[in-house]
Amino acid sequence: MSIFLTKDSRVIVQGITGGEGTKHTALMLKAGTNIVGGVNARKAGTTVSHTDKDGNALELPVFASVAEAIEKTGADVSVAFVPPAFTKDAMIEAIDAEIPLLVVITEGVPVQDSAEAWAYAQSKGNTTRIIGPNCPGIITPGEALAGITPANITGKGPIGLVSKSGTLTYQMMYELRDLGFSTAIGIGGDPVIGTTHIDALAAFEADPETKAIVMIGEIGGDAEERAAEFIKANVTKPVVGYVAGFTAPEGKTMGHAGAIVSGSAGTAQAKKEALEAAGVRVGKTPSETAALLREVLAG
Amino acid sequence: MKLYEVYTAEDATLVEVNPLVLTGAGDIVALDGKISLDDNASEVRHHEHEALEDKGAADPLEAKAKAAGLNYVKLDGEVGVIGNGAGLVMSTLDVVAYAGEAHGGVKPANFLDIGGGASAEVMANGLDVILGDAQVKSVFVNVFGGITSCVAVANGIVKALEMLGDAATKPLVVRLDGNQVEEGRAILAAANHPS
Amino acid sequence: MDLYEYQARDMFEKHGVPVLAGIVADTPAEARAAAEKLGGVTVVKAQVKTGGRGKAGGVKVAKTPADAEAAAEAILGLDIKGHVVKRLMVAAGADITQEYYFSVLLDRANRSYLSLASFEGGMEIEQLAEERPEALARVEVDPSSASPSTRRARSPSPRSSPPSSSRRSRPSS
Repeated sequence: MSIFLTKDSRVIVQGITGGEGTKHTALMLKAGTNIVGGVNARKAGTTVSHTDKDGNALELPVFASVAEAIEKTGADVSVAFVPPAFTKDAMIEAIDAEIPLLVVITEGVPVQDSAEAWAYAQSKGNTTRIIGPNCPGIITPGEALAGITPANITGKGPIGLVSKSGTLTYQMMYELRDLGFSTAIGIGGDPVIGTTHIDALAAFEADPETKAIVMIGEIGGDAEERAAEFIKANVTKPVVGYVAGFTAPEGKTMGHAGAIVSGSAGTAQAKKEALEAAGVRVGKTPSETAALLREVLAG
Repeated sequence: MKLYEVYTAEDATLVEVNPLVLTGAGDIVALDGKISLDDNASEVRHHEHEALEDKGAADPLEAKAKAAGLNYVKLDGEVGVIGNGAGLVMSTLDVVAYAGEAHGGVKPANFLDIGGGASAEVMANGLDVILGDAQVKSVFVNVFGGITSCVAVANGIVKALEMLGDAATKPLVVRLDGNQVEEGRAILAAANHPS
Repeated sequence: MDLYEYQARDMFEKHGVPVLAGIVADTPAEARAAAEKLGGVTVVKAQVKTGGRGKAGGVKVAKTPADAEAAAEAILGLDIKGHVVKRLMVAAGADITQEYYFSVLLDRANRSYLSLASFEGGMEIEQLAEERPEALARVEVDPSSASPSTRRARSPSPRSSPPSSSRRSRPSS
């Protein structure tokens, strides 16, 4: 088991003919992902050449729309690599087609576009789970990758991971590579995102294969505080946490559009305290967090 | 309401009027206001917002980094930090500060994220900005190559050091892991900069 | 990016929000000239991207152009919470009967927009929210409700990147 993504997932790529789309389609195939096609309205009817993980040549069909791709291939996951100016339209197209999972990798999406797409998904009854934007996506090691996480860091195992940050996801997978992961999700660092820490925690709690959870947060907003409340009330599995940005000064945006400390809100210290109050052990560094995870997993 | 139009049409994240006043003549007037704009939107569809930027007030190093397309924030300490990914760089700042406590409060000098899939040139530009900071006494490069290739990072470091020549006297510590790590480390070893 | 007050004023004016006349001044002489041009009572305001200007002495009422020059002299170079005043706005005076508060902002927690309004304007909103939360009305605004005319204005400008793989579509790490 795993959450949101399995070896049976049928994946399409929005923007499969672009530079990033081409590169990452190849990497996702190599990771074992069952990619069944892509979308680009201007190149509909053509195919793109790739090789599967065993090195066999593959011609992937390009469709005019997500709806057509679903109809022809039975796709249930879409990964979007489209430029930020067109991301909102790509998201709305996928939501209209009612694809069950949409992973938006694109960085630099205007926040009002993300908010509009989210409101649209809500108005359509939330049939599409959105991950991102500005995220590394989701990986179920050994089965499938919908995103850009390096697939060779580690394999299958008992740990579930949810993180705002891409590279910290990779770092944590690397620290715990001997144990392995059920699923690792990078939810993204933008102010408005689809899947939240809480959504992932709830799914890991329900997943029998996940024995312990690592939650990585960073400065800005109050998502970690809300996740802490959720953990206290709903999560029985052990959770360890890490928060980046203790040394971040007030009023300076640290890379992610959402990573900013404003006034007393959004500090790493406040997040750490909220998590600890919910019984989550919080490491000072990624290495210390990995050590804590080993402790809780050993019981 | 016109103020909501300002919010949506200009892609703001905050439009605040305080106070909005009623005058003796019965007019409603915005007396003082605050607007925060979404930088992503400015990049995508509001190029005119660039003119609103306060170029004179920015730190000269921040201005230089921005011109090179780098995500840089100047801080107060003496250890220059370069990494890939906002989270990893923030985390590196914290780790440097913790480690620095044992050495009389040594602190990070900056935040610098070279972003995803960075080329050798981006790495070299980043190193150039950091070595241009007089407060910096040493530099720590922390890269986990996901999409970013360690080869590109290593080549960038070597290129920057060649560019700076004898001016590059500050010690440099490099941590490379992930994508093409062996090749990257070999490049650094050949250039005589142990990682 | 946060805007200065004078930039916000110009942006309000562009969208038809009623504002008072205001002129930017970088020197006391410019402040005097601005006050002469505006006529009557003016207000000389420090342009800094931080709150609490009034308390720090960064806002002064000037009855005459000479007053405005003196006020500018006093305000320029002032350090307000680490922000040194380099620019002023000289604004026309207003005959105030009632002060209100109004804002629209991104509500991260609800992935929505939030509008705040109060009949008690003028004070710091954080303070009002804490001391008299009942005086602050909160209305959630559905992000999909923006008017069609604004929608059109928001289509990508011609200078934006073509729909191929652009630099900004690169992954976050």
